[in-house]
Amino acid sequence: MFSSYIESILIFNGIHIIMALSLYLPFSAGQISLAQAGFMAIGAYASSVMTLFWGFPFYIALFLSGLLSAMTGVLVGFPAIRIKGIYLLLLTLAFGEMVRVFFLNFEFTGGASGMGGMDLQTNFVNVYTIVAILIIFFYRLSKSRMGRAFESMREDELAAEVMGINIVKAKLLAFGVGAFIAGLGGGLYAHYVMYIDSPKFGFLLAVEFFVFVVFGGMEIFWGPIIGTTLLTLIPEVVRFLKEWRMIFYGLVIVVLMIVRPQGLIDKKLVDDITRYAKKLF
Amino acid sequence: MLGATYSLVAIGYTLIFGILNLLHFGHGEVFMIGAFIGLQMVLLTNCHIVIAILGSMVGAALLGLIIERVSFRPIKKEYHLAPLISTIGVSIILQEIGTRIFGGDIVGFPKTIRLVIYKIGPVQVTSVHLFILAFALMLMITIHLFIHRTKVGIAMRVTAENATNASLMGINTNRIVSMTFMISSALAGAAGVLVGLVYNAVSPFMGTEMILKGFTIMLLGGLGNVMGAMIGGIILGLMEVFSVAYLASSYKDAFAFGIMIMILIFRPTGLFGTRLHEE
Amino acid sequence: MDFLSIENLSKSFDGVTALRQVGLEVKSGKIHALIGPNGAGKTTLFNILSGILKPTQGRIRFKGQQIDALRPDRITSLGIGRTFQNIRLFKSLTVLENVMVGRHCRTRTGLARTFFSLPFKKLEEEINIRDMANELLRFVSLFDKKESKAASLPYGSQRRLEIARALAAEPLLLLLDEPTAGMDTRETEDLAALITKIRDQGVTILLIEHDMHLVMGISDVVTVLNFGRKIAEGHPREIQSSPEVIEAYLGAQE
Repeated sequence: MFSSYIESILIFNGIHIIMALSLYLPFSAGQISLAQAGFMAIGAYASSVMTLFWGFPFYIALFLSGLLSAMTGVLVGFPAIRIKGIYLLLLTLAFGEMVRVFFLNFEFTGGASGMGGMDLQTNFVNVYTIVAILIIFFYRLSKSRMGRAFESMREDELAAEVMGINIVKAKLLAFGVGAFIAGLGGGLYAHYVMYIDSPKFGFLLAVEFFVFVVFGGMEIFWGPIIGTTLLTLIPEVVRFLKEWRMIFYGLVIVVLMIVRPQGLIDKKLVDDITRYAKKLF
Repeated sequence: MLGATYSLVAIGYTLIFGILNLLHFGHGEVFMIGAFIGLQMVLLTNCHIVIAILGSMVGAALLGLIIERVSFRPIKKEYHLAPLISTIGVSIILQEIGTRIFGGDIVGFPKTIRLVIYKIGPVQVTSVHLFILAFALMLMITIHLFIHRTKVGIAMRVTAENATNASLMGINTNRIVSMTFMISSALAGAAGVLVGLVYNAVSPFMGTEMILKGFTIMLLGGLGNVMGAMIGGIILGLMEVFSVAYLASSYKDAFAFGIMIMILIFRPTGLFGTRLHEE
Repeated sequence: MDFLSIENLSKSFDGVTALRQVGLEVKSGKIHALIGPNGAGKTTLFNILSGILKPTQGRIRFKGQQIDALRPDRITSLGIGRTFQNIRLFKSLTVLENVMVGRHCRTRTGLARTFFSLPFKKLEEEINIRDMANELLRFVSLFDKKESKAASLPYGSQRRLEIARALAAEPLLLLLDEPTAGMDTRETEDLAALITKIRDQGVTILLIEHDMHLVMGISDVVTVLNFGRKIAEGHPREIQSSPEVIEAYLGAQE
C-alpha cells in the first residue's frame, strides 16, 4: 500500500498516538504522569515473554499485558491519590525510572542485553484499528457521565468531590485504564521492532509523550492525536534540513507554546470546525 | 565531592522552582554547555582553571538570560504546563547545538591541576577533589549570603513568597526572574566544569542524567528550599558512593528513585520541611 | 428522628479554635440562617458538614446516621448539597455540563457501559441526566445560557448556577454559603424568591448570609455564631432584639 519507509513512519505514529492517548486519560482527570514509558515497557516485555517463551497467540498476549500494566497502574495510582501537580509528576517519573532499572537487571527478560526474536505481528491495519477503537472510546467518554466527572476533577478536585464524585475510584480508574492503553502500545511496539531493551523506555521517552499531549492540547482528545502526528512527522518532512532538523523541532515546540499555550487544538477550535463543516453540508 | 557539585545544580533548580514555580528541563543542558565552555577555554587559551570556571559561569548566565527571554517570558502564565514544555523544547535545541558544535564524543578534560594524593586515615583525597570541594563550597556560601543579605536576594525571596505582592511593593519582578535564571545558570555552568574535572570527561549527553539527579535532590531538600538543596546534594553524593560499595552498581539508580518515591509519599515537603514557596 | 443534629462540635487549626462546642438542630422543611461576624466559624461549620474538614471533637447526625467521618461524596449521596462562598464552578465546562456533573451520584453508567453500548443510540440515563439538567436551568433562569462556558457568566448567574448544580443531586438539605455576595438589590430579591421556592419543594435550607434584610425576611430560624460559639438562636424577631447579638455585631464593626 505504501512504501515500506512511509509505512514504518505511519506505524510508529500510530503507536505514539496510542501512547499519547494513554497519557491523556489520567490528564483529563487532572493527573499528570511521566510514568507512561514505564507502563509501555511493562506491556512490551510482558507481551514478548508471552509470545516468545510461552507461545501465547499475539492478541491474547497483547490483551493480557495490557491488563498487567493496568494492575501496575492501579498500584501506582494508590500513593498518587493525595499527591498533585509537580509532586505527582516527580512521583510518576521516579516510578518510570524504577521500571527501567528493573528490566535492566531482570535476567529472565535478558537484562542489559535486551530481548529479541519476537515475530513481526504489528502492522498498519492492527495499529490503526486500535487507534480507531480508542477514538470511539474517547469520543463517547467525552459525552458521558464518567468523562464529565474526569473533567470536573481536572477543573476543581474539591468541588468535584463535594458534587458526589468518588475521586479515589475515579483517579484509580483513569490511571489504570491509561496504563492499560500504554501496555497495548508497548506490546505493539515490541512486535514491530522485534528487539527491546530497557534504555529505550527511559524518562526521555516519557517526556516525549508528555510533549505530544501538551503540544496538541489537553482539552479534548483530538489534541494528543494531532499533536503526536505533527511532532512525529515534522522530523521526517524536514529531512532536507539534515543535522539542523532537531533544532527546528525544538523551535516548533517553543514557538507553539508562546503562540498557543493551551496547545494546538482546544474545544473552541473543534466547535468552530464542526459548525463550519455543518454549514458546508 | 561530587555531592557538592550536585548541590550547585540543584540550587539552580530550586531557585527557579521556588521563584517561578517552574520545573526547568533545560537546566541540565545549561550545565552541559557550561562544561564545554570551560573545556574549550582551557583547550584553546590554556588559561587557568579558575578563569575557565568563571568564563563558563558568565557564558552560562548569558545562556540563562536568553532562555528566559525566549522561552519563558513570552508565555502566558495561566497555562502551567506551557513553560515546562517550552523548556523541554529549549533542551532539545541546546543538546543538538552541543552535539553539532562539540561533536557527539566524550572529551577528556586536560590535566590542569597537579595531582597530589593526600591520605587522611583510610580515606584518600586528591588535590582535584579538594579543589572542587572548596570551589563548590565557596560558591554555595556566596549564594547563601547573596540571597539573605543583599537587596536583590531579599527581593528574590519576597517574589518567591508571592509574586503579586512583590510587584505591588515596587519590586520589578521581571528583572528578578531574569536574575534568577542568570544566577541559576551560572551555578550550573560552574558545576559543569567541576563535574568535568571529577570524571575527567565532558559529553553532550551529560545534562540529561543531571536533570534526574537535580530533581531528586530538590525533592530531598524540599521543593524551593535552597539550604535543603545544598545538603540534599551532598547526601545524594554520599549515598551514591556508599551504594556503589554495598549494592550492585546497576541497582544504585533504583535506590535513588526508591528514596524519591518514599519522600513523595511520606514527606512531600522534603527532609528539611519549610519551603520558599507554598503552592 | 432529628433531621440534622450537631452536638458539641469543636474544630481547631494548629491551636487556633474555629468552633467551640457548637450544638445545632436543623428541622426538616425550614430555612435556617446562620449569621455572625467574619471569622465566627460559619464556613468552617459548612466544611465539616460537607465532609471537607473533620471535626476535632463532636458528633453530627443526619437523619439518624452519623456522618462526621464520611467522605464528601458519601455525604452528598446521603442528601446534603452545597454551594461555595468563593464560587467553585467547573470553569471551562459549559453551564449545562456543570449541572450534569451534579447528577453524578444519582446515576450509574461506568466506563464499560459507555464504551460497549450500541452505536447511534444514546443511553437512556444520559438522556435523563440532560432532561433534568435542562429543567433545573429553567428553574434558575439560566436555560438560554446553557451552552456558554461557566466562567463567562456574570457573577450573579454563577451563583445561581452553583445552586442548580447542587440541586441536581436531589439534596434533602442544601447548604448555601453567602449566596447573595456580590449581587445587586434586584438580584438579591430574585434570589430570596428562589430560595423560598426551593424550600417549598421540600428541601431544607441552611444559609450563611450577611444581608440581614434577606435573612430576616425569609428565615424560619436564625442561629448566631461569634468567635466559634453559638450565642443566640430563635425566630428572626427575637434575634433582632437580642442585646447579645447587637453587641457582637457592633463590637465586630469597630
